[in-house]
This record gives sequence, C-alpha cells and structure tokens, in this order.
Amino acid sequence: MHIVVCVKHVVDSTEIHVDKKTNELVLRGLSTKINDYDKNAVEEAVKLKKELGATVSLVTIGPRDAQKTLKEALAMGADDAYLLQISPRQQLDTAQASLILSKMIEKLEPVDLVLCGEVSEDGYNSQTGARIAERLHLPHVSYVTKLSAQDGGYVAESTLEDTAETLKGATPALLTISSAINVPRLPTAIQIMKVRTSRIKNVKLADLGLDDSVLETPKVKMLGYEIPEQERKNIMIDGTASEAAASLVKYLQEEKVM
Amino acid sequence: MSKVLIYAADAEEAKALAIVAAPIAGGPPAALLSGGALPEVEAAALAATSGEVGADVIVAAASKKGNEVAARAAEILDAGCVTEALSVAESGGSLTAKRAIYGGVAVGEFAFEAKPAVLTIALSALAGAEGDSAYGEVSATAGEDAGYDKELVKSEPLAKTVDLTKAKRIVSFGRGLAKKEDIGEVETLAKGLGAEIGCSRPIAEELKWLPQEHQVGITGAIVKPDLYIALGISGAIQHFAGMKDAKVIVAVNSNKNAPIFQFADYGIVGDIYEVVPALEQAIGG
Ligand SMILES: Cc1cc2nc3c(=O)[nH]c(=O)nc-3n(C[C@H](O)[C@H](O)[C@H](O)COP(=O)(O)OP(=O)(O)OC[C@H]3O[C@@H](n4cnc5c(N)ncnc54)[C@H](O)[C@@H]3O)c2cc1C
Repeated sequence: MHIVVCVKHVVDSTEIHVDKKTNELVLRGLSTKINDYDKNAVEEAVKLKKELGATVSLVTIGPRDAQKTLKEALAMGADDAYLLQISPRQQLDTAQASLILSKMIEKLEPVDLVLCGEVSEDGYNSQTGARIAERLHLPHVSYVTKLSAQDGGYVAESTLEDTAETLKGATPALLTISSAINVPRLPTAIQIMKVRTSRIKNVKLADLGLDDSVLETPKVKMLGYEIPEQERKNIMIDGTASEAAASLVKYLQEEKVM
Repeated sequence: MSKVLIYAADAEEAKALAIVAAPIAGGPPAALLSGGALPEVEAAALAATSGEVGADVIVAAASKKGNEVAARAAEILDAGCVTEALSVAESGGSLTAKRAIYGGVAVGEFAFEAKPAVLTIALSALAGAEGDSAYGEVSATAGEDAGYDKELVKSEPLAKTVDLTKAKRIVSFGRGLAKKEDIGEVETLAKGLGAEIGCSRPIAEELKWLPQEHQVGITGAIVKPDLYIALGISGAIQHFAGMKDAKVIVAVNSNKNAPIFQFADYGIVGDIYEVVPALEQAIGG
C-alpha cells in the first residue's frame, strides 16, 4: 500500500497576535512549523505503515524552510518527502495549491490513499483535500475521526456537527483527517535533526508539466484585513480572594447574568 | 450583479442564504436543495445545475457537508472558493467576501479574480440573517456519474453529554487546574451558577480529563453564553475563537499578563484554588 500525505508548512498560529500600537497583525518573525492538523494525518499514515507495511510519501509546497516540516514528518516515520519550493512571500489560493499538489501526487502513482489534515491552522479554508480529490477523480471522506484500512479498501468514520457517519469504500481514495482521531507521536529535536536533508527530493513545476504562470494566477486574493473592535470592559478586580469574589458577584448581578 | 445559485440542506437554510446573498444577487436566486447523496454526487449535480441555470456564483452554508460539496464543485468549475464568509458584496464588477482569518483575530477581505465563484456562508452569519427573501427552487441536473466505489454504511446522531453551544452559562477551566481530582471544585461552582463545564484543548485532547464535547475553541465548541468564566486558561487565540461571542467574560488567572485578561470584562489576578472557593461562598451567601 502506498500512502501520500499532504502537509503544509505554516506560521505557528499560537504566536499570531495584534500589535497594539499599529493595530496590525504580527506575522513576521514568528516560528514556522508543520500544520498541527497534518500531524494527525501523518500519525494515521505511520500507524497504517506499521500495520500493513505501507510506504508513506509526503508532499508539500513551501519555502526552503518547509524542509523543517518534512523532516519532522519523516522523523515521525514517513519514508519519502517531496518539496516544491516557492518563495517565502509567494501566496497560493486553494485552487493553485490543489492543482500543484494533485500533479505531485500523480507523479507518485500508484497511490492507494491520499491523506490530508482536515484544515490548515493558518488559512482555515477546509478546501484543499476535497479539491484534490475532485481533480484526481477520487472519492473522499472528510473529518475522519476513526480509520481502518486493508489492501484495497477502508472504513472511515466522519464526524459532522451532529452526526457520525461510517463510510466504506475501495482505494484509491482521499481522506481528510480530524485532530480528534489520535495524539500524534512527538519526535525529539535530535530525532528531527538526524533526518538527512538529502531524503527530501525537490520537485520543479516543469517536472509536473506546469508553467511558472500557475503561481501568478490565483482565483481569490486577499485585499486586506481589519481588526475587530474589542468591546470588553477590562475591569480588573483587586483585593483578597473573598473581596474579589464578592465584588465579582455584584458585577455579575448588575449584568443580570447570574 | 451576479446570477446566484443557492445550495441548501433545506428551505430554511435556503432562505437564510438568500438573505445573506442579497447584496450580490441580480434578481431572486435559484435554489437547489440537497439530494442527500454522497458529496461527490452532490458536487457534480451542483456544478451541472449551475451550468443549466446559468449561475455565476454558488452560495452554500459552511456546514461541514456544505464545505466539502462546495470545494468539490469549485474544482469541477475551475472556480475560486471562499469558505466561512461572514458577508458578501459586489461593486464595480468585483465580487468580495469577508471572513475571519487566523481563528478570528482579524477579518480579511477577499476578492474573486473571475467568475464563476463559490462561497460558503458561516453558520453564525446564517443564524443572524433576518428579513424577507425570495428564491426560486430548481430541480437538480444530474452530474456525470463517476461511479465511485464508496457507500454510507451507518449514520448516527452524536452521543453528546453536553451541548455547550446552547449553554447560557459556562464555567471553563484550563491547565491552571493541577489535578484531575480538582475538577470537583469547578463542578461545585458550576452547579452553584447553573452553568455547564467547558475546558481548553489540553484538558480534553492531551490530558483527557473531560470528553471532547467540553472543549471550547476553534477545534471544539463555538459558544455564545451570557456568562463565560475562564479559570486558569491563558487565552490563546484558538481558545478565544470559541468564546469571543460570550456576552460577559470573566477571567481568573495567576499571571497578570495572561492574554485572557484582554478579552475579559472582569478579571481577577489570583490563584484559582483560592478564588474558586471564595466565589462559591459569595454565591451561596
Ligand atoms: C491548530 C490548533 C488548534 C487549537 N484549538 C484549540 C481549541 O479549540 N481550544 C483550546 O482551548 N485550545 C486550542 N489550541 C491550543 C491553544 O493554542 C493553547 O495551547 C491552549 O488553549 C492552552 O490551554 P490552557 O490555557 O489551558 O493552558 P496554558 O496555556 O498552559 O495556560 C494555563 C494558564 O493557567 C494559569 N494558571 C496556572 N496555575 C494557575 C492557578 N493556580 N490559578 C490561576 N491560574 C493559573 C497560567 O498562568 C496560564 O495562563 C489549539 C492549538 C492549535 C495549534
């Protein structure tokens, strides 16, 4: 069985904040890492590798620094990694990313399962998995919270807002993996460091039969953003624990929320 | 203006979508109600129907199903797609949509470079949609049958012990709580307030002290109670994204620089092990 996992290199979304002086998002100088949700997908792939003797390949589009993300996933137990390098300033919309990733996956055929995180912690678009599936003419199951697979097929549980669906199907197929499915293994810094960069193969757009112009034609562009007003009272209550508790109760009674 | 095709689970959802899409719709939108088939089949039918009725913008609800059908349909139509839109607009021939970015710290404005365009509307925006709207229901044009080998073998309602999205009051705790046994203290306070119990992600996902449905945040429940009390929660944006719409927010944290205080109406800098019992007393007395 051959499993391809799509991973994304992102800024650590837990570090993103608003600069109070300029009222702008601070995005530069933050640490970058593997998209949190993709770790769940890699973990699931590595589990299947142990169980079925599968081979696990990773594909990503990202800056040179995305090697870090691939090394982490290789340290988790993936076998091969493919990087299509773009400039750190290059933005891609979901249509562009899905097109390029699809071509990268096609190059690796035969492929039995394609796994993606259900969403990325930077864009939160939840589109890429389903788009790749459509482009590759694969059936897909999203929001997978339970998975079992054998050669030729899979059974997956998909958790929606109020229902859990169980789906059964034949491979090849694409699955988007929910963070609730597992707790990803945590390779140590030394294990990650020991992964040789030479294991990461560079892919060029031309290898995929694509032109550089694909990078310049997004279908959706971000024009700008605004920071929503924080309409909070920010009242800090002083005093001993019991004084503070008594004042808080008074405030909450005034607010009529008790 | 756009020729809009709505894709909705039912008539009520179609009506809300028509209200949100009104600013871009040139005339009453067409509406296709979901046939309840697999997303691959729904997406093919949606794309085919949009061609049939000559729509250039598809608008669906940003439910989990809505998002996957919309994304697949966008790929079939080779279209741009914005999910979780809060509002849509069109001026000077340019179609734009606003959506939360980075979990809600900011709201981004996105422009479609071309049509067709596909949008899903955030469920919060649909819940707030008020007024009248008209749409004309159309029947589905079947898409190409790809003959995928996939079947739904079971569909069950989720067994939830609690639905925080409907709670009026929530007492939530995070890693500031040292031991699982101490949850009893939090429960006593919650009981005194008639509140449900919530928690941050580490409590549910890593420590597994509470089932997942108690988790508040971007990967948990998005809540909007009248009162949200955060005990020993630092206030990461992923947590904030789940509780930012609470009417009154209270934070108790021993670190006066914890980000949670920026989001709070009332803050107490202190040890939850002292403040929680004091609060129980103050409520009881
Ligand atoms: C993709 C992604 C998705 C995520 N989704 C979610 C989500 O849905 N929900 C969520 O909550 N998180 C989510 N997170 C995690 C989030 O970034 C934070 O790591 C998490 O919310 C921190 O939980 P915490 O506040 O309980 O713990 P910590 O950040 O460790 O904070 C503990 C706080 O307790 C205080 N404290 C300690 N002892 C005491 C005491 N005795 N009395 C008073 N205060 C005390 C400390 O000062 C500190 O502020 C997500 C992260 C990622 C990357």
